Amino acid sequence: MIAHWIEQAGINTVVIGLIKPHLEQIQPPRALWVPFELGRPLGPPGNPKLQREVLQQALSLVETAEQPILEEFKTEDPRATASSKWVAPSIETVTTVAEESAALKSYYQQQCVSQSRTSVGVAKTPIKELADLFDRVFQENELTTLREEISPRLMLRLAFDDLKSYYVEAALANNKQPSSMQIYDWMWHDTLLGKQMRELRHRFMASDDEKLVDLGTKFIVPHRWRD
Amino acid sequence: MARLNDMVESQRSHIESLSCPTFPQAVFSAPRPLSKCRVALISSAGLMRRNDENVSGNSDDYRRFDKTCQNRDILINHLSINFDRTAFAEDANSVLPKDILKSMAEDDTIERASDTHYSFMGATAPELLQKNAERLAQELTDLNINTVCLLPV
Repeated sequence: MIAHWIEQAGINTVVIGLIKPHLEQIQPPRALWVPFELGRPLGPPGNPKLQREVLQQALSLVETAEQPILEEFKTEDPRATASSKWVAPSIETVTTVAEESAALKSYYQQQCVSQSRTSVGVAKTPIKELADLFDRVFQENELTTLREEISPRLMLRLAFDDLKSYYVEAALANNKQPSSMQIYDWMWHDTLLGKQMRELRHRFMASDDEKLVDLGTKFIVPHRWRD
Repeated sequence: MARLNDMVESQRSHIESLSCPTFPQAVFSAPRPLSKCRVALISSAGLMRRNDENVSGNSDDYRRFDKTCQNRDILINHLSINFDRTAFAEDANSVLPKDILKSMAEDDTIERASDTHYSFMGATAPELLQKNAERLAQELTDLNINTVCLLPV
């Protein structure tokens, strides 16, 4: 829709879209459907050659299309396939997410150094404090905020996001190029964080507090890993 | 993976239930040579700069990412948990390909990459975005940008 409003100002627009039925219904002026998973419109991370092919094919529609067009990008994402070289981070038996996240710290730090960045940060709070917060919520049902300007519920949602990003980056260490499914299967099934988040989801959904029900229903476990 | 048939049933039915407005009077601008395109990127990933305020789940406004903004300063703050974030964790260009676009300007494939790129919160009801989308269109016009690539997640 944004494409239509911007095109009205005389600016040529092109959408790189992931959900073909939506592109077919909204009919933006120019669209390139890409066969990649949600969240990665340019496809495989760390593959500037293929990313450029996507962007260039999309922008070329500005030059070639004389009427609304929906084109397909034909190349599949090579990173959608599991990597045989990838091995999940090794963690000793732990009893809390604080212990587990501490055990993953060297993996996480290695990935940060190799990429010169981290995607952790939306909670604006150190991981150790977020892990302690998670453990208090899980063990004592205690909902508190670590930032006075936001609610306990929002604090928890941001903590979930940062903890998951931290685990993802730990899994990416060593540049073995796992697929997203490998990472998420490990995180949701094999880590204490994943197991406890799945349990917390059910606990929140059974709560009398509507906001907690909403949090549990929508914002803890993605569709694919719900039980 | 983004093919509906590859999704679990609950996600597929959720996506199929989303309303998609149509534009019977849609505008279509005349073609433009790629070499004359001055291009900005617009993501709907709910991106924020590391030191900025969080993006609220129903924000109708957009964020700017100017040339002082490095990839390490950009975070995803989208409300949805149902899209892959591992690619962004590894490579910001898989969501906001500003380095790729810059390379296309450097070898003259396009005329220029915008100094500033943009992001909306994709979880916001689309009809609520119109006012600020039109404001952004004016901002882009003022910056002499003539082409936009939109990147939903």
